[in-house]
Amino acid sequence: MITVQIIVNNNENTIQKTLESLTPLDASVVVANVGCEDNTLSICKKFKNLEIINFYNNENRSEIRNKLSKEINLYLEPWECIINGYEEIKNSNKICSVQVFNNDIITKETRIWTNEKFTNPIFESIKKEHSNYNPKIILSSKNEKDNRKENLIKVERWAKENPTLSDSYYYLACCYLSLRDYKKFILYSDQYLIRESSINVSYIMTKYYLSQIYLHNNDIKKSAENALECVSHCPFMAEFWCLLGDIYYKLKQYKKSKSLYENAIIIGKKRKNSDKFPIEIKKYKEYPNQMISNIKKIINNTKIY
Amino acid sequence: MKWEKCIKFLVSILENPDIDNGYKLLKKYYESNNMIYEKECIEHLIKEKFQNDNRTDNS
Repeated sequence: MITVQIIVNNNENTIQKTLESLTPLDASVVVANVGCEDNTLSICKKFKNLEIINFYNNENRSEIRNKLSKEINLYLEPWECIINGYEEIKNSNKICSVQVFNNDIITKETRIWTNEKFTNPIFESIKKEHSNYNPKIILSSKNEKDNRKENLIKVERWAKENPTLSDSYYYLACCYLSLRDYKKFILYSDQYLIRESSINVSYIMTKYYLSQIYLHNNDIKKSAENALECVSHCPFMAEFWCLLGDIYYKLKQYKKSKSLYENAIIIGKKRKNSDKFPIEIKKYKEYPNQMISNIKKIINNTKIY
Repeated sequence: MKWEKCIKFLVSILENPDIDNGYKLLKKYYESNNMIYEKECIEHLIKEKFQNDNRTDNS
C-alpha cells in the first residue's frame, strides 16, 4: 500500500482539495506539520487513514521525507492534487517521475520512491537518472503562497555549509531567478555551470534562462551562444527554437525570426512526452503563432510606408 | 569536441533558415552520433518545412 507524504505549514486554503484528491487512492497519509498556526491540522483530522507528525519548522525537508519513508511512497505539496493516474500510482513498486502541471508549464518530478534518499534540504529531490517516468500520472500544482524569500534564506544557509556542491549554486541561481535578481542569477548560474560535470536537464535549463536574461540585457552574443548550445543538445524543444526566433526578432531580422518560430511549431509536434525536460505549453503553438502574426504586421506596415 | 561541429551546422541554419542545407547536415550529424530522437526531429522538420512546400508549389 502506498504512503502519501504531505509537509504542511499553514495551508488551510488548499489542503482540503489536496486530501480530497487522495480519496480514490485509498492510501495511508502522513502529514508532517512544520509549524501550522491556522486551521490546516483541524482540516486534516477530518480525513480517515491520516496521521499527523510534528516537526520543527527549520527541519531539513529531505530529512523529513527520509524519516517518514515506508515501503512505497508518494509526496504531494499541500497545494497539489492528483488529476490522473490513480491505478498507475496504486500499482507503483519503484522510483518514478510524474507530470506536474503548474499553470502553463509541465515539469517532470520524482514523486514516487521506495528506499532512495532525498538530498536537498529545501527543494527535496532524488537524482533523476535513477527514475522511470510515467506520463499517465499527473498532478496539478497551484501554490498561492510566496515562499521565495524564505526559500532563498534556507538555500543560502545550505550553500554556505556545502560550498563545493554544484547543486547549491544551481538552487541559489533558481531562487534569484524567481526573485528576478538577474545579476545574481547570472553570477550563481556561472558558478553552477563551472562545477556541473554532466550535461543534464538542470545544465540545459540554466543555459536556457541565461540566454533569455542576456537577451533581455541586449547581450546578443552571449544570448546566442547559450541558445545554440540548448538547441544543439535538445533540437526537439520548441522553447529553444522560439528563443532563437526571439534573438532575431530583437535584431529586427524578421524573415529569419519568422522561419525560426515556424521551426518551433513544426518541431514541437514531434516532441515526445517521454523525455525529462519541462514543457512550456505556450511555446509550442500560441507564442510562436503570436510572434509570426506580429512579424507579418511589422512587414505589412513597412510596405505601406 | 563534437558539440562544436553541431553548433557550426546550427550557425549555417541561422545564416539562412529557409534553405535546407544546414538542416540536412545537422540531421547527418545526429545520425552519425546515434542520436535517434534528435535525428527524427530534424527529419520531421525538413519534411514539413521543405518537402511539403514543394508539393504545394507543384500542385
